[in-house]
Amino acid sequence: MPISLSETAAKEIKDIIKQQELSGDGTRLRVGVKGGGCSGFSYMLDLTEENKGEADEEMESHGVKILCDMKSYLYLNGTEIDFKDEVMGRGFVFKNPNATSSCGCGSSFNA
Amino acid sequence: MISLGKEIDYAMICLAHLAAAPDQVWSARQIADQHQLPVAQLMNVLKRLHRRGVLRSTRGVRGGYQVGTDLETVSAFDLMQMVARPTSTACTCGEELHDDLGHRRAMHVPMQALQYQMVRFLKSVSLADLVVPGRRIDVPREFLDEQCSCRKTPPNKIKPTDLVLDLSNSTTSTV
Repeated sequence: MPISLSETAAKEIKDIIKQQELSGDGTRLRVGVKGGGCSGFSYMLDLTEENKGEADEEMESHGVKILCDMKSYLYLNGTEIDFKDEVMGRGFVFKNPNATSSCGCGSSFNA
Repeated sequence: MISLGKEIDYAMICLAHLAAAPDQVWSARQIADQHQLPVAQLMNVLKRLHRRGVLRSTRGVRGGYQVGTDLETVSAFDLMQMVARPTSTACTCGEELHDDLGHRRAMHVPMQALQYQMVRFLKSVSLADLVVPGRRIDVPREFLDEQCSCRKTPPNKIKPTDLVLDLSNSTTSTV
């Protein structure tokens, strides 16, 4: 299953691309995980004008092109990225089915 | 990245894991294996959370831990108080401090002021806001604005630098 954006998140990304005066067609959202070890992984978002690399998966959601390196994709496949604007703050929420997996066999992603 | 200490990291990871599957019971070993954490340290953290009522436990072969309280009512500061081991009993309420060699240390008033602000903020953040899936903000909007690698317009704010603040050593009095 690919990584997807909610409509709200896609709209927010398009707004950021416009504000940053980036090319709408040439800009991709890079999604990944970083870190590891005792502090666990954290989610990463970035906008890039790079094309898909050999180690990348590419997909599209609501008109936004998404790149994800294959290692991060193992952990992120099936994730929906949403956007919230609430009292606690504004930002992107990762709804990752892998993080709620009931499997206890130590299948967490190895960087 | 601000570091709050390993044990607080472990506590957050455990709570996020348990909050994601609230109907299931998880042993320390299962959580440690899934997140590649040291079992012994994790057990200590889980025991402390259990003693404070944040977790409830079930004994037996299929025993383990579950979230045992409303995480809305527990703040990030509460968690730090429960989990972090105090490394100093020195009072920082205005008295002169002495280091291990008995040398007098200056009272860093600006740091104390920062400490108060940090504590106030940490008390305003509930664990539910941090660990409940779909509720926690994983990447703030401003972060993408400021950190975008192909940015063309200059940022309005100064870029955040890496900070390591050992708040687990905090002896700040209650604000």
